[in-house]
Amino acid sequence: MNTVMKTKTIICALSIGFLASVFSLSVNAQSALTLENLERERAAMLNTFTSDQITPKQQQMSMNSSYRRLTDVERMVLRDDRLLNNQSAIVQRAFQNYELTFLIHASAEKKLLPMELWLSELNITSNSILSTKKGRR
Amino acid sequence: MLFHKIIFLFILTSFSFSAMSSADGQKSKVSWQPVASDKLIRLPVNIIEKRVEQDFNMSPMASRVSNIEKEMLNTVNKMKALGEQLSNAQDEDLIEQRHALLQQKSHYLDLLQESQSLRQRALATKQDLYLNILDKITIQNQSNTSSLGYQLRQSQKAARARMEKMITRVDQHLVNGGYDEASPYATEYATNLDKINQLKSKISQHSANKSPTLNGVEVTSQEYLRQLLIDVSSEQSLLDQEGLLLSYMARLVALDANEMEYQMSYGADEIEVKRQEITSPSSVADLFL
Repeated sequence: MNTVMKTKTIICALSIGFLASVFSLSVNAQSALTLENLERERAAMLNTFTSDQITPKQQQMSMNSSYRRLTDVERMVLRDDRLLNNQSAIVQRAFQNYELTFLIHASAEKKLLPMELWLSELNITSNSILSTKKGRR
Repeated sequence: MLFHKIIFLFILTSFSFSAMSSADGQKSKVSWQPVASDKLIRLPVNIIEKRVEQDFNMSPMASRVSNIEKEMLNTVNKMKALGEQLSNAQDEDLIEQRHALLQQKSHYLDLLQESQSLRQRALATKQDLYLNILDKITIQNQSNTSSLGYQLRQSQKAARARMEKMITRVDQHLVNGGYDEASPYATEYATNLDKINQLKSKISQHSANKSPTLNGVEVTSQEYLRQLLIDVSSEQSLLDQEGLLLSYMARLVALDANEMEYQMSYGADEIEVKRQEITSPSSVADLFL
């Protein structure tokens, strides 16, 4: 009886271990997905900000909507332990440049608007824009 | 019969305290060879200690130590019985009893010596094993802290801490922007987080997940292993002291045997050699005058 119980316990432990490994494999396969979503969402927000095809009102509405989505996605990325399995340069750079990657939370920290922070991080000022010239490289 | 006893006593005398080589023959028969495998190292360190003890208890060495212990107990009982008989014995019977007692003492010392040798070997093996485990854990920790994964984990931890501080401010900004209700993700996350914290607390309280403790204080695996090594060293020094005890006991048995040998060869009463009286010439000189 004891042997049967022991065997059952071992089988149970092994199957749990197997399930865990299968789960971790499927997790690894899509480990950087949250970060890719964040990159897409931020790119869309920057695109809206720099677009001259929409009215200021539309821009404001779109920015507000992006702000909310980015808030969620930034939190998802920061809470995503699956990213640790993916040690690619993209993931490393994302954490090294906190201000640029997590624009919403970093801007709240510095009490700036997200776009203000983005411009200041890239050293884009009114003067630097005005001093630019058209020309060939 | 008497001649045999004298021969035995002579052998017993020569036994003195250098009977160490007798246990060497047993070395190959009783062994314990634990290995610091990766599977063992992955276990919590307090479980490692239990596993090592369990492994030793199942080894031929441990069963030999246990058998010796039983035999020693048996011999002690015989020695006690002989000691009681000795107080009432006389003449030839007394010599018989003393001889039997010496035999039992000698046998006891043989057993004690073998047991000591085995325990010394077991402690040395255990010490090597713990040192090996400690080295492997140290190397593992070093590679963990210097790896890219570790650095990434640290970066994520720092970033997460920065975000946690700003959550309220960002949420307030959302409310100001007209989003009164939290997003579905935020709502679901908060619900799950609550359950996760409950589960985590249950896991941390689980008896199978307890950290190793020393005197009721939680310690790291390395600290616990260092304490185990100190314990092994203290056992070894006590065994050395027992070795000294054994050597004095052996010396005493040898001296008893020596004394008995002399008594049987030269008589029980007078061990001292009587000088033959020699007539001094001065005492007879008068006769020549």
